[in-house]
Amino acid sequence: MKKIFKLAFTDFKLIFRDPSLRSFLVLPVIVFALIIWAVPPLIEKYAILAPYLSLFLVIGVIENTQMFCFISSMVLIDEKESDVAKVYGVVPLNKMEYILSRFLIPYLFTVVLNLVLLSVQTICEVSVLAILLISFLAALVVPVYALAINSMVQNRMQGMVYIKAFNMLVLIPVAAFFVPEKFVHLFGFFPTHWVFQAIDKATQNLSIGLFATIGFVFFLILLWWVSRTFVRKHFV
Amino acid sequence: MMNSFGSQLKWQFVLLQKNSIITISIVVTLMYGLVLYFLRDIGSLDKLLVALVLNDPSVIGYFFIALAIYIEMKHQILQAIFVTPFNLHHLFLSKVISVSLIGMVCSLGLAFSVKGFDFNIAWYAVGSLSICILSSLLGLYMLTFSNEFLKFAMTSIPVFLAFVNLPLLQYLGVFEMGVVKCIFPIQGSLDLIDYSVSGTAINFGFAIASIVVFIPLFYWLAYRRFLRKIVHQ
Repeated sequence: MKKIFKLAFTDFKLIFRDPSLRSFLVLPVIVFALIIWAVPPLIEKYAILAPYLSLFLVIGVIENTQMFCFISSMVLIDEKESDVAKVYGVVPLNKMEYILSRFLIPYLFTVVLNLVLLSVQTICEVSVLAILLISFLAALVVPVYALAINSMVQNRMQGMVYIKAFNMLVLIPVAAFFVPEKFVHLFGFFPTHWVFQAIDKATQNLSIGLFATIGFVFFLILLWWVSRTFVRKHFV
Repeated sequence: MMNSFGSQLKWQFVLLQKNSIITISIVVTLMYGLVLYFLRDIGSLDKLLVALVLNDPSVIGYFFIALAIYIEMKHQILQAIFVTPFNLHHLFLSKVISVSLIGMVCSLGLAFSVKGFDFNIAWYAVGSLSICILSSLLGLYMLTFSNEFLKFAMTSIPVFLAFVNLPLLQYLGVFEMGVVKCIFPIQGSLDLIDYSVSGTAINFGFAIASIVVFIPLFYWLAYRRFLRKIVHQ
């Protein structure tokens, strides 16, 4: 476990060594500023936005996950392009420990971002338990996203193309907020749908247990699957 | 001369496909199309369609053309090309036209999913192609200010927001800028798209003139800066 933490911290420091990656850390600040200062006056001014309050939180929560989705994807692609990945293939860690070390801090960092965002926002009232569940669930997007991309791409160019496609896959279940009730769960093929629906229920003070459970199971199965694919493809 | 250009263009498409850009762009368009098709009953989707066209296919041109150049520079491919008797105009045009055509096809795909065939396809194609060409040329211009892609991406955020989203916000009615909107490079193309999908009355003279003025201007700016900052260095 000590080795995992050591590698996790070393890996995290990589972001601060690369000024171009470091600059992406500003993105959550923008999300926070929008959700805390820009959205509430808009809601007050335009009554038409009232039915979509939860949507603002959905966007805020998912955008918080996108920072480390991008950073982790780019760090791993860079390692692949520069053949550093092959060196990692022979370090004294098994592959799952390696994955844990690479995503431990990005995951926890994203959890904290969403915990803070959901706690300080004034758009809707959300219970503490719901905030915790949503934060831990939404942050699972980070490892699944980055591992999936790195299981598929060979270089930075392909990486960016897939990132564009994945961003869309992550956001597509937003459409469920605009379709008739009977079609809502047609978007359940997308894992983020369950995160979005959990947020929606939380903002109405309803139980999010079912949606959160489906979300956790869905994400953990995906995580297990993409981790295996990643291990098979990344170190060769 | 045409053979050289034709060959460049063909290889640009080969490179784009090798990097999955064509396939992924089509898949993304199909998924957007599917969602838009689902949403068609909630009311008019014209504004959503225009917002998507401005924020998705145009991005293909802006970011991917710059990314391709950075990768070619990193692997010393451009440096090798520059010592051959190549024609920089051919290289420029082939890159711009290839990504812009993909962007236009994706834009058309989005429109078909919302409007079926019930829109002015020709003007819509002209408008969306022009936006893609302008955004590609802007990408070529902007890449000369950064030495690697992530820095380019960060510096691009305000530029791209101003380039695309100011005209979009004006179109959506968030604010009204009067005649000032005429200085937006994509305003003419946006007017053509608006006319094509919603039948909005527009000034065709302005729309055509805007495209005819801004595309050569952007080309000239991008070409000169690329020549000075990339080729000569």
